[in-house]
Amino acid sequence: MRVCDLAPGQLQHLLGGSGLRLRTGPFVTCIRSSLDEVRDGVALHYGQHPVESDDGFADFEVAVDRKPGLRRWLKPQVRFLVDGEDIFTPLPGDQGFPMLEWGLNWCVSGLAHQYLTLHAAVLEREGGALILPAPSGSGKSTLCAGLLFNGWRLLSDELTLIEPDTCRIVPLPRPVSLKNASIDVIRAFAPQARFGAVVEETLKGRVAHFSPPHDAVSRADDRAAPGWIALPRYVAGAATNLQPLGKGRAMMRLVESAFNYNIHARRGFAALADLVERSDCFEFTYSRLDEAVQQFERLAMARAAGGA
Amino acid sequence: MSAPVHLAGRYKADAAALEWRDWGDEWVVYDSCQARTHLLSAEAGEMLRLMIDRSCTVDELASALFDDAGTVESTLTPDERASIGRILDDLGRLGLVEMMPS
Repeated sequence: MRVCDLAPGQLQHLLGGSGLRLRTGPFVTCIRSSLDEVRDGVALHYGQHPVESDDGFADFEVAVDRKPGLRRWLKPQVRFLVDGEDIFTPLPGDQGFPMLEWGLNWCVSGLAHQYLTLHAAVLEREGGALILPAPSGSGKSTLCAGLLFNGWRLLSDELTLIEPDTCRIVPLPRPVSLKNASIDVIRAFAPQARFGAVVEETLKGRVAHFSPPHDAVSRADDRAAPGWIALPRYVAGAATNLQPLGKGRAMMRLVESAFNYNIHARRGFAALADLVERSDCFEFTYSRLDEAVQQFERLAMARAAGGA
Repeated sequence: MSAPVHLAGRYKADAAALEWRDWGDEWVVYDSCQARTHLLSAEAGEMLRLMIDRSCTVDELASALFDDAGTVESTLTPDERASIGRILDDLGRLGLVEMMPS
């Protein structure tokens, strides 16, 4: 059963009661929340995701709710709980859905150490994964959004999960988060994108999410082999420029981007080195999204023709 | 930080602690003792590999790296010798090699 198959009122009933056991990629998260914006966000963005049975195992138990006390009436705040523990600074009351998304990212990056996890967007084409490791503000999510509306399959816009022993990339298709000017860029670039509410004045500025494409969700079990690693950098006015990157420097960027590299120790080193070895590595500068998409289209075509 | 190494004496790397990948111009080394990863030049990587197999003096490193005919003493310039010394010093500072007790 998918979230969109739930009977009217059932989503709210689950979120407000025993919890919605939502499958996203390899994880099941039990989500509880009485907030309308969380329910609406889940309904909009996770409609195609599977719902697991009430008595099944959940990797993460989370809740997003109003912080209790007088603040509840004067200046409402929302809090994110993991296993009942309130571990984050509360946020203003209208940020329930972004907080759920950020909290889920934290759960995966901080708790799911069966994978080597990178702070990187990742897409797939012709069976090969394109990994885009980059810090916030580098244009990673904008580029990811542009590509997923042009033939690339979304695996994740934020977290690249690597199976250490196989070096394959595990999909984690979830809503794509955009910030500030990127929101309008993608609205214009891909009018079909299903955006939720724009939330103002978050810690990251203006934030909006759009829904993952249906094929990304339905193919969440299809892992991808290493293909390309590109370090994206948006520079206003810059020409589109894709330059080969030495594998040693690419490896060091992956190490910097990894959340749990040291936990995996030698195995983590071997996994990242294998990933780099099997990928074509680049530095990529862009300012025009249409040109950027064309550049990666050429890479995909070369791979399809056996020339990658 | 380890003390700087000098040009006298013999140096060795801890083979059991290190993993590396050689990509031609760029090497990456993982030091499991310190849980640190380092990017090395090809020269530094080759020197490290030599010191994993056995302890080496600066002259032995120079001979292996620069001189195919074994005439290092006559052909190695002071700059080349200093260059090897600097790399050895860097590897020592990173904790990747250490001087063997005499």
